[in-house]
Amino acid sequence: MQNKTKIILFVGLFVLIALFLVVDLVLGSVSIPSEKILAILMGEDVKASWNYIILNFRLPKAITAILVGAGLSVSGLMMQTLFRNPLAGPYVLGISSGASLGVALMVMASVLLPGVFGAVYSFLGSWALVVSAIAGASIIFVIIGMASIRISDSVSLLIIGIMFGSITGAVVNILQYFSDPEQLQSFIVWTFGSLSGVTWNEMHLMAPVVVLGLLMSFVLIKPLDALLLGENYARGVGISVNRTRIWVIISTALVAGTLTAFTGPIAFIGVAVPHMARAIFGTASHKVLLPAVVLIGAALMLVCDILSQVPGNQTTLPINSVTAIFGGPVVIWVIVRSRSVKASFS
Amino acid sequence: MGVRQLLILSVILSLFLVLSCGRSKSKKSLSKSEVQTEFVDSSFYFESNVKHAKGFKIELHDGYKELSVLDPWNKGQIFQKYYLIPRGRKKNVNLPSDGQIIEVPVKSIAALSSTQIGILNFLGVADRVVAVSLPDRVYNEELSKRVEGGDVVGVGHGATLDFERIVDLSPELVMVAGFMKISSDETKLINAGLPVAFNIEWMESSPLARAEWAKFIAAFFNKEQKADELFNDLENRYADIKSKIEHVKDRPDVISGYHYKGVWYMPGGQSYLAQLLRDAKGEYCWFSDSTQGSIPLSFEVVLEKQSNSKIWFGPAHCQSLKEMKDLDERYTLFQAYKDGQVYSVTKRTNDKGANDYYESSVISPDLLLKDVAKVLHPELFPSHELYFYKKLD
Amino acid sequence: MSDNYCREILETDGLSIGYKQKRDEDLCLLSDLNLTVRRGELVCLLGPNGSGKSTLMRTIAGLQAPLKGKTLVEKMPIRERNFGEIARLLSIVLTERLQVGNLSVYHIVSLGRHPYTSWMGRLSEKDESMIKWALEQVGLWKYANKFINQLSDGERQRVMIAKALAQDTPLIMLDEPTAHLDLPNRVEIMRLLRNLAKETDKAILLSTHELDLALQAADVIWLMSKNKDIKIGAPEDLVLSGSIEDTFKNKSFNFDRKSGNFIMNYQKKQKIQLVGNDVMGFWTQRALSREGYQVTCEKTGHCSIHLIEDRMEWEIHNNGNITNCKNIQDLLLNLNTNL
Repeated sequence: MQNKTKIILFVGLFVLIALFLVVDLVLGSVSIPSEKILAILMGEDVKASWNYIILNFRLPKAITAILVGAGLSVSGLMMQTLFRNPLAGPYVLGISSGASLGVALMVMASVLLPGVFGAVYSFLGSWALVVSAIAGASIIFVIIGMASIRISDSVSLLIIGIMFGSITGAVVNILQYFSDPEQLQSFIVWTFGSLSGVTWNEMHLMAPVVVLGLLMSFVLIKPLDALLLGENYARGVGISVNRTRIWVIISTALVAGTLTAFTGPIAFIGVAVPHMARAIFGTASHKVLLPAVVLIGAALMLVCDILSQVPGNQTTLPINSVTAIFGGPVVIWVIVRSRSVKASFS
Repeated sequence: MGVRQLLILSVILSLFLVLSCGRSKSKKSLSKSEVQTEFVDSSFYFESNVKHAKGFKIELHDGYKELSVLDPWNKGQIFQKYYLIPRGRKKNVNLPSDGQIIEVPVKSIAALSSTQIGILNFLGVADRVVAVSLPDRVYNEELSKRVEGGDVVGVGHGATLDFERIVDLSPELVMVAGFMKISSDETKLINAGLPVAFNIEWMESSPLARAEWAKFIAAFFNKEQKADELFNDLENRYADIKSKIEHVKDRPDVISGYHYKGVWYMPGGQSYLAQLLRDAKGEYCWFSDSTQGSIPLSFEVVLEKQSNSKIWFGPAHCQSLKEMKDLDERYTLFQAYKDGQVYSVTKRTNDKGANDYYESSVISPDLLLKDVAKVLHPELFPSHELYFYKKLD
Repeated sequence: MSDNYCREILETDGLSIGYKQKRDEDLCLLSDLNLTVRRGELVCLLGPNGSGKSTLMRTIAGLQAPLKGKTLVEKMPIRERNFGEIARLLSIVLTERLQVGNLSVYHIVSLGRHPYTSWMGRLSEKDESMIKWALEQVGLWKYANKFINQLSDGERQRVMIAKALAQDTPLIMLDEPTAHLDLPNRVEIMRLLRNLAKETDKAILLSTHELDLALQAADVIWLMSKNKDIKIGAPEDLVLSGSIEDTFKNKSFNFDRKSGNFIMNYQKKQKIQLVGNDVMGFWTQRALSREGYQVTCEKTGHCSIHLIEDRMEWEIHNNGNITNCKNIQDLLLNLNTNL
């Protein structure tokens, strides 16, 4: 692909993101005229409730969508390269399962073991869910990290990650089975994923961490490209495979773990967007794919958020369903039109 | 190509920094403030006398009222505090900062739990409701009409709470049921400048205590005096009914709940039903249990202990015995079923599926007690027709 | 030439290679090896399958730990150097097939410049000129923008060699670089490697089990065989000393020192005399041997074959009868019917 074409595509993606951002801000259950929205963004006081809605609901939601789309897609790309597996995604190391376990324990075991959990609960207040998710994800991350140091083989590591995912998933199931309908509902709602739960306060923690993780991934472009040739060749050009693996895991844990802690698990994006990027840009080179994946992921997530609000005014669909139902066919279409998956992994 | 990537990065980064820096400051207060009035509603100064309810306290101070909701899950802790102040008087008094400050009387309320509708109606302020959770499930006729007329809006609840709608409406008070802790949704509402009142009446251990939360709600409307009077009447009626049950000798055994996916959800020993059963002199083998909600039991345990129970206060989602049998054939093994002594709270439902039980039962414990007593001891209250409960056929 | 020009680019000092096993004793394949690779030399590591060639290659390259001893690259032990330093001294080409298809040839070769580029992977002018030079050396410059999955096997291997060239290391190690390739490609690559060694003063160490090419192209051969020491020497020395024959000895074939070929041992049926020599005679003899005849120059029995070289025809003289054959296939058919 010509350099010129690449530049056009990138600029096009930027434009799309800006466009979707605008649409996302316009849609909502309360109709606010677009000129007013623009005024509000410029700092004008239009109407107290409208100002609040735009600046404290819709804007953080849109920014969350962008971060989630970019972050999960980058994590997915790195996992696919590290494990040479087209089905790998950001959750393959069990990090989101760890987060789920943390949340499940917090929500449901607080009834089974009231004393300890009750105290922790009231101390943390509204940060309880986030903290428990990060704690859960971190524990799994440490275990996987230790395993990564001892095990030199990527395939084994992948299997270990998946197994941990299964184990934590089973524990969560048991917790669910024994819990009250209210807790159960509360947990299940968390698993639906939600972009709208992030306040500016939380954003002040989430955004820098995610951006840090993304910056780390940009530094990893060179070793990731070398890894495309296989671990032996990567070593041959001077890349420390072990060190790369550890940094990739750290970056993924930071990005995917943090995002999952705040928004719940959001499926599909991390696996699908790298394939879309490969198909559209026709290359496996991370120099192109990494920025491509950031932009495509952000755009796709904004679209999914827009779609989740469209049916009627009152109801919004859970974001996880939208990503899968809308994203699935898109990816199938993209891949059928190009042979890049086969080319990338065989 | 590296330059380009750095450019992209820096653009994205700066976007975030710009957007995130400024915005957190625009957390404006949304409650409408009234024009300053010199005249203060004297009903503000009525001091409620709370006799049964243990979940809240009202204290009158100099110029303001301190309303505390206690945390039933953490003994000794306070769930939430409110400082009620007459409209227009906010500047005159120095209020502590550990609670939500609300100007009363409140002119608009989002009542997100059905029981609140009953109480608001009881106090005569149902016309101040501007939003409910599920507009289709409103039984109260006037409110229903206002829903149809568009004056009352549905905003969902729990996970489907429509924030934008509520914020746009900007009610002066949002009332929710309260569970275990202040949820992040509720915090969001408070941060948006909407005061949230936590109504934890359902954790009380006696029907009168639950009903007494009418005084809690009344405080927001300066209707405490009326609440006091009405509650006294209610108390008397209740005591009256209870006295008539005093010398009944027979205490029929009771079964309740329903079976679902391997678990039988049996109302616990401190549940609303159990409280009524005690006062109505029924026998219930789970009286010694301490749960407020339901106990998850296995089918076998229930069958063993309660297959011979005489009366079944049954599942609200069944309208007939046949429906019960269709749901689970093994229900027919129970004596209460065989005798046709199954009662459910579906008497007052309308064709849209709204059930008055969920709206009015908390504020009508006397009727409930009468119902339960009549079911247990048919010889009592011969002229009383079952109000909430219906015998399944 | 840099200041520390080191002719002996790689040396092993008392190296023992093998595998550490948890419970049993270490499995030692070879011990106490003292090998040297010099710049400007093409060294072939030769040996039958299973003799430990890959293990030796991996150990020397620092990918596997030795049981004892050490490998020195530019006089320094390889395991004391970090990956980046090693990558500037030693580049590798493997047999494994790339699992990625949609990378351009240029991009893949540019990965060889990794040890020299910044953390962003930016290519300087020098990098780009090295890449161009490397691709020109392997004759693939005009394919620079093609994707690797559009190339044939031989071309792919040449791309990997170009990458190793772009890496600009004094030593290049290749593990069975000609496996999976057809004959013309195999020859081409060996020729290319030999030229590179001579022209760029690089040391090239490759492992192979293809005897014929190794004998022709290598300056030094390291001959490995199971349970025996490595024999080192010029190819011709190893042939003349009988080492090649020994190593590849087999019931089914013999190594013929004269032709440098493997001759399959066929069951010998009977003797037959062949009159005539040179190229035609050589190939006629091969055909007759395949049929099981023992060919001699002296008169034997009643039958003999005469070569008519100017007409490229054969005559079978049998008890006074002469049968004329236009080609070898005919010849063999007639022989079978006659005798």
